[in-house]
Amino acid sequence: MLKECLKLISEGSVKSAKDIAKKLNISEDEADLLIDHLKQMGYLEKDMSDFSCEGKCFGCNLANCPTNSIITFRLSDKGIKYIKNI
Amino acid sequence: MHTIALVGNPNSGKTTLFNAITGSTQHVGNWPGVTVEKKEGFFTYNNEKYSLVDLPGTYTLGAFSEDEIVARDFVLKGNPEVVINVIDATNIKRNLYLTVQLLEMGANVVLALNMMDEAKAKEINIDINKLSDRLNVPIVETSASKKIGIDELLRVTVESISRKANSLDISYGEEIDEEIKNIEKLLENKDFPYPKRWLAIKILENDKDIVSLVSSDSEIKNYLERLKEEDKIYELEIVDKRYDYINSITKGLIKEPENIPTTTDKVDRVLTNYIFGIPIFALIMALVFQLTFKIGQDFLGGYVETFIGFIASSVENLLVSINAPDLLVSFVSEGFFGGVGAVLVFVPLIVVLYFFLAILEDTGYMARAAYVMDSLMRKVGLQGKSFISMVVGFGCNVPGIMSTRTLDNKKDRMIAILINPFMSCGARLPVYMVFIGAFFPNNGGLVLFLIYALGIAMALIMAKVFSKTLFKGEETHFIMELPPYRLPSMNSVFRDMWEKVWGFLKRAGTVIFLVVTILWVLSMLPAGVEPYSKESLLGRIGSLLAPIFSPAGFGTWQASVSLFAGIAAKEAIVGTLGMLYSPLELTEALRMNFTTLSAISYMVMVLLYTPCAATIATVKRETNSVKWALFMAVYTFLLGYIMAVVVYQIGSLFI
Repeated sequence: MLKECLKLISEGSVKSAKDIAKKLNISEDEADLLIDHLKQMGYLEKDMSDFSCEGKCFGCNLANCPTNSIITFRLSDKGIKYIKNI
Repeated sequence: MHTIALVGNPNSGKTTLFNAITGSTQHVGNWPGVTVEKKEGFFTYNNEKYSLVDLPGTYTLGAFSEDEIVARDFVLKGNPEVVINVIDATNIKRNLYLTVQLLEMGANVVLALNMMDEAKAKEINIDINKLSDRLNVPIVETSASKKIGIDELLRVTVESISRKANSLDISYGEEIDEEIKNIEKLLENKDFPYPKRWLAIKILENDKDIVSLVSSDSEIKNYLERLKEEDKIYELEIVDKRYDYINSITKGLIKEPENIPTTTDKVDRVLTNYIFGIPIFALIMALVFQLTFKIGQDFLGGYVETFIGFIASSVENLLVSINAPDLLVSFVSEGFFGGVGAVLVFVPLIVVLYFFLAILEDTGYMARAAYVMDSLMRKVGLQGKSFISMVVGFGCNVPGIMSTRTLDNKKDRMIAILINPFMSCGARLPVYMVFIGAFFPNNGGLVLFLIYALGIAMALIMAKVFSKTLFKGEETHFIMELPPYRLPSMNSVFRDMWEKVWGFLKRAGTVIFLVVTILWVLSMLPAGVEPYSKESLLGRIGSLLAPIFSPAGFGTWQASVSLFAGIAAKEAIVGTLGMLYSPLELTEALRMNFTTLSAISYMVMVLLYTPCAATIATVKRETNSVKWALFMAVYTFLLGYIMAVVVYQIGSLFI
């Protein structure tokens, strides 16, 4: 199931745990669980991890750092390598 | 003294159970060499004292965190006679994953099926006897928070001390089982402090801690290198097989009611609907702009304008009464209040717009907006994720462009950077508002919405053009967390809004003030010239530029100068117009110098033309290329100009 889940993400056919649940015919809790395992094992990585605008906005006071209310995860190098090998 | 370990997932009620069993006999320290807290307590049963060690809460027993390593090392090397595994009965399958790993280690497990009261309330039925038989471990129902089942748990635990536990051998499929056997053979006669089969599985899971330990043996090291060369890493397969095992042993034993959709599920069915999602997003944004206009401009705007007007005339009267030099009076009343004041009257608008946008963000809707926009973004050759940087660009294009760092593909990133300035930032809002006030006072919300929509449409069109011409590449994909909807926290909404408002005020007092001052000086020179006239230095510069903009309908020197001032900062456009048309009231002056059509073409130009200097500098830094920064400055100018001319010329045919 983890392999299928990773494959679905890499193909772009799912965008959220809800989509994964629908495609794999499992509950949303189970889909969340798959995503958690993939994150923990380093197959998925969080975006925005290197995002910091401290002191780099050229004095533009409107340039507040964006809030991180939209959290996304992408395939890590490990995930990409795994998908290429299957 | 007998030692018992307490293991469980975070939030399984493990600590509550530990407190219920040990009461005040606990002491807290640290595990050696790590910062993980060690909690130990004691209990007495049938006059015999037992030590209970509360291990860190973990979902797995891998090597992904210190907590996991501490927990598994204690189970394997601390020689607890019994391991009480606390299971959240409302989420049993997830919790059993840890149980399976404990059983694979050969731990003497007693399951505390905790939160049974909540499970019963949720109508979750578990056949405990059969589950106990299938797992071959004793199971005790508990509700630690109500201290139910504690005595029974202690009785079963103490009785289990004499029980002989066998490790669980799951079949991982032919290929993996074969590798396990091979590694077990290699481990024979090797002195590692772990069970051999467990070590073999961990090696195949690529457990860093274990791989590092066994690599000290050259024979095993060679074997590992061969596995690596052949890309034989089975961690996903092993996790999957464990879940297959859990599904097989729980089959028919857990009865849960059909999933009842939550409020978030019900709302999501509508808001993220494949067909209606985007129109609903457009409607919500149209409503936000309508409310912004009605509250920020019609209701609050007048008060601020009157207040600033009152201050301006009071200061001017004061200066005149103390015989201040004419130049100072002119600078303060026309330069400062005419220029900076013209920008400040839009503070209520900024307050209201960012208040509503912060609410949309805090309720969790913005994540849904990005979700529904994904398919559209992909159609124009962009990653769905690019929409996030576009949303950020509504506040300011500088962080909008910086947030494109999250796009891993360079080509996607370049496109996202180049289209970001079309997302109309907060600084451009005063420009639209002053023109809307002059020409469209009754349809302000609609006009504002159309301007923002035009910005998004141009961004998408240019993305398509760039993806077909300059940048061609593969798509990369992502998944998004859709947080449950929640009532917005007013603290966070006001903080977010205040940051934007404070930024706006600071810019009015710094950049805008500086630009207005320079332009005021230029409009006073050469000495003796009629201030703000065509003959002034500023007027002459503007007159040189003005013919360029004649085809777009705003070929006046004031309009030309204001557009170039806007490259320093967009609010400076309003500041400049305010000063140059001073002492006339700005909306009145605009009605005299623009037609409805030229007002529209001017707003289109402001929306699309060269972004501010800070944005161009950000492009230079983010792309590490002067070429792309210049490209951005020039192509946006040309696009803005062409669109303004097209709007004006086509419009002239009808109006």
